[in-house]
Amino acid sequence: MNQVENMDFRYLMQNQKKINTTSSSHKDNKNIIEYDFKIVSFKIGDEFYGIDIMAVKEILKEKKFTRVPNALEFVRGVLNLRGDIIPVIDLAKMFNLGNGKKITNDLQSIIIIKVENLLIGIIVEQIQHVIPLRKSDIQPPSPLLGSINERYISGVVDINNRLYVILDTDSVFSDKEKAKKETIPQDTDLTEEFFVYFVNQVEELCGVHINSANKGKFRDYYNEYVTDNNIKEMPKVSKEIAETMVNKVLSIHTDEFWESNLIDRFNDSAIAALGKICSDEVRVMDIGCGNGFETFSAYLAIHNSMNGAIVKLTAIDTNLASVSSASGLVVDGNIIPSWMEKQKNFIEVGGNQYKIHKEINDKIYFEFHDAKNISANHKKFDIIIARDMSLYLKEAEYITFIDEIADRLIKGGVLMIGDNEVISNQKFTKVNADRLSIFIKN
Amino acid sequence: MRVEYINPFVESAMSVLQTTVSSEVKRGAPKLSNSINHIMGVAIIVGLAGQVSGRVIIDMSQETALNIASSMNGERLNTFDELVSATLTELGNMITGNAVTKLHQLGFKFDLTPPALFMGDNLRITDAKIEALVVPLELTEGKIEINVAIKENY
Repeated sequence: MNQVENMDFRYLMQNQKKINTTSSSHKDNKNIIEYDFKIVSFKIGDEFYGIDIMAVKEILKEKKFTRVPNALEFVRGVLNLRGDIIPVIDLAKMFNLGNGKKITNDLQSIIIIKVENLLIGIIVEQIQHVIPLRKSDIQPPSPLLGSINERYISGVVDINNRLYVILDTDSVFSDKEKAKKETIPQDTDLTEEFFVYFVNQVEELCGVHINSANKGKFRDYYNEYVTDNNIKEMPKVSKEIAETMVNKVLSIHTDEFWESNLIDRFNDSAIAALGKICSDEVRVMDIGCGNGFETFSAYLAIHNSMNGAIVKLTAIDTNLASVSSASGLVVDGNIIPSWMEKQKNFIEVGGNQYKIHKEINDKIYFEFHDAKNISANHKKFDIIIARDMSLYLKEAEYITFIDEIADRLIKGGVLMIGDNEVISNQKFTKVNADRLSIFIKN
Repeated sequence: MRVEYINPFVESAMSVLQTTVSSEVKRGAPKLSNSINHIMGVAIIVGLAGQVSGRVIIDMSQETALNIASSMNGERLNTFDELVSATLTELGNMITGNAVTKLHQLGFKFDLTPPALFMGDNLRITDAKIEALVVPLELTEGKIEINVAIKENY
């Protein structure tokens, strides 16, 4: 409540003075007037409205919310307020005050009010001020007044020659809530709406993109999640849940060394195809290399399986911090899988801490490079590893990206994308691979 | 852009500006930009050759350029005369020269072309198929952007 009361202290004081002077001229010799009532005022269309401050929980300025498809006309969407899902309602729509003014969907001022233990967000065009009043200043509504039905109005008050209509939130929303329950038939299938909402929340919380390349698997995992947790209502999404979902979509051994199981499958598909186009030297690009685990795994896997061929690897990432530290990656000896031959390929830097051998490191170019600008790269590669890039690119960007990396590959070159990603591009043919997504450039 | 190249340029720009212009230099997060860049008003361009090909652009507004030239000369300069251009080209020389020395120590061989100064309103620069690293720097004299694009020759 403090937040609201402090909203504009200076204005409040001025207002109080003004009201003091105006009302003291009316009401004879009383010097101290006690205010027993405060309203938060706002504007819809050209009219001013107020809500009893005791019903207001919070005011949010410029808050982004998620739209809900197929909802009632006046329900604009839902808002995740520190974990609570709150419906956001457009009063202008609800009261048919639509005077043609379009409200944009992005950023809105929202007043969160509490009605019978239910939190509701209402979108208002412009939040004005907190105004102190006395109950006796409030005049009962005239039946002829205002566009809002008389029973929703608890009164009208005149402040500085401006009429404020005070809304009775209890009657407005408890009525409408009931109406809402009646209008939505119980058996309506809302799964699709829930899914869309869930996707939006995950995207917002984790900063990833769910697009056609990864939506299929995401959907499967979502359905699993819904069944496991017996979700029948609008799903609550916490950062934790969102992260678990994203981690499920990520390929196996993301941000860790590849285990021999993955190496076997990689050899059967990618290396088999690679063997047809090159022998002595392999040019590799690792897009989204992160901390370098994937880079070193891929380097050694290709080097070993191609009978010691020279591997020239370019590893790129847009995260400057991780790509800069990748070349100096120091790991605990216990997490290096045995196929990577710790003694041969790594140097111990003390205390069971290992660093990749300098000779190998020198053959890897770590670059600060944005996948969106991949066309600016003029080199050609035999194999490109770009796992889970769809999570970091928008749908259209990802499609262009796939198209552009096709130009970076030689004919017959190999593309490895995320295990759970699907692409359809005429330039590539899918290879049969056990749980891996391997493509050959046509 | 190879990560090894980034630090020498950032460090040298910071240290040269700190010693010659103003002690307060704030560095923004390095960005990657596509090939078309808008120039704020004055651009000092130094070409890179040798093991790599590329260029360094030091970009600022005319007002910032005058402020920086004034600070470097220790007197207030109000018109864009020869002294100002000479000072700015020298700044370009120092920053790139310093960076290239640091890169030499790391085993990279770069050569430099003499700096060129470009000035004008609404300037744009395009270099085909190259991604540039942009390092924004904030000084009391104004805002500078160091724009480095390097292409490996191999």
